[in-house]
Amino acid sequence: MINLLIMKKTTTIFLVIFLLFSMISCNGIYENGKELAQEVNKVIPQTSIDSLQLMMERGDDFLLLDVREPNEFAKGNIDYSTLIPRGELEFNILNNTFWDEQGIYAPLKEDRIIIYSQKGNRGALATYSLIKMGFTNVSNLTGGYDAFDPNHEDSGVVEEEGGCGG
Amino acid sequence: MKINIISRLLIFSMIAVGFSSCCNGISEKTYPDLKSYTDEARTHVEFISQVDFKKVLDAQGSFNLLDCREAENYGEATIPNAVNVPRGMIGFSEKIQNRHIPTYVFSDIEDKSILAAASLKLIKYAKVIVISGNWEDWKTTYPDDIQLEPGGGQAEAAAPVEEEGGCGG
Repeated sequence: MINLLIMKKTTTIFLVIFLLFSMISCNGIYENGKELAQEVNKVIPQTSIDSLQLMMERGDDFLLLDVREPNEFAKGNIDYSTLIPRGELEFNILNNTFWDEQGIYAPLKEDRIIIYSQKGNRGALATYSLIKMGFTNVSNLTGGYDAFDPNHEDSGVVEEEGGCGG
Repeated sequence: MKINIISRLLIFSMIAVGFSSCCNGISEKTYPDLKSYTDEARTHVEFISQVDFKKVLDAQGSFNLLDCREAENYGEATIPNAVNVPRGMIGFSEKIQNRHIPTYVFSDIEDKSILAAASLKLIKYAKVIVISGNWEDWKTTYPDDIQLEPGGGQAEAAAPVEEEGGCGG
């Protein structure tokens, strides 16, 4: 009887410690978008700069999306990319009117899509959003536009270095 | 007795695993369409009607007001004292310093405000409230409570500036 009581208490203590440990190790709250993007980058597909350049040289069929803000896009972008600021992405990606204006067909959910931002952080969040919406062949350009063209004119925006979120 | 212990173990384990897998805001769940996606986000955010927000605005208390439309739209007009951080820049801007006071969010699309609010909740904003409806509704209902050309008419001036570190708030 005493043994059973001790065993019961030990089990309860073990379970409480386990639960507390799980809660403490929870990383659900991030300091800023950069931290969130770093977590997201662990679970989304990536495309390297070399792979993108190879795909471009081969003339592969894929959609290249720039999810930065219009002022950043205007200062330099990758050839043949389409601008959809990240904040507009979910609302335009399946919007036929938007794609008609771009003069291309709206992507299908299985189409190859590569997303880039300035440094790859907003791109990661955008890639994650499309995956949530059921797109199955979407990836983030590792390092973003800065990595693609390290000598580009400074856009005046120090992207994805943190900030307060607001 | 053994069964009792095992069942307890299972319940606690399920709670712990469930908690740790969903608390980082990242899940593998996918949605068939945008509506399902935003409907899910909707269940995790708080709302205030425009009528009630007007009272908050008039009371001139301490709060953040976040216009998460694109800079170009903000540059034309906004709600007085609103700060522009386009939804895509949330998490990468220092325009709002104090994360401890209530943050009210609005946009041109209510669903966009909801997704913005969900992002803000992931990055330590203590209290995030979506203003129901959208900018057009506000403009129509409260034409005297809009601020024209907050960026001096220059969209670029109102554009976001991503900066490094230092949150303070």
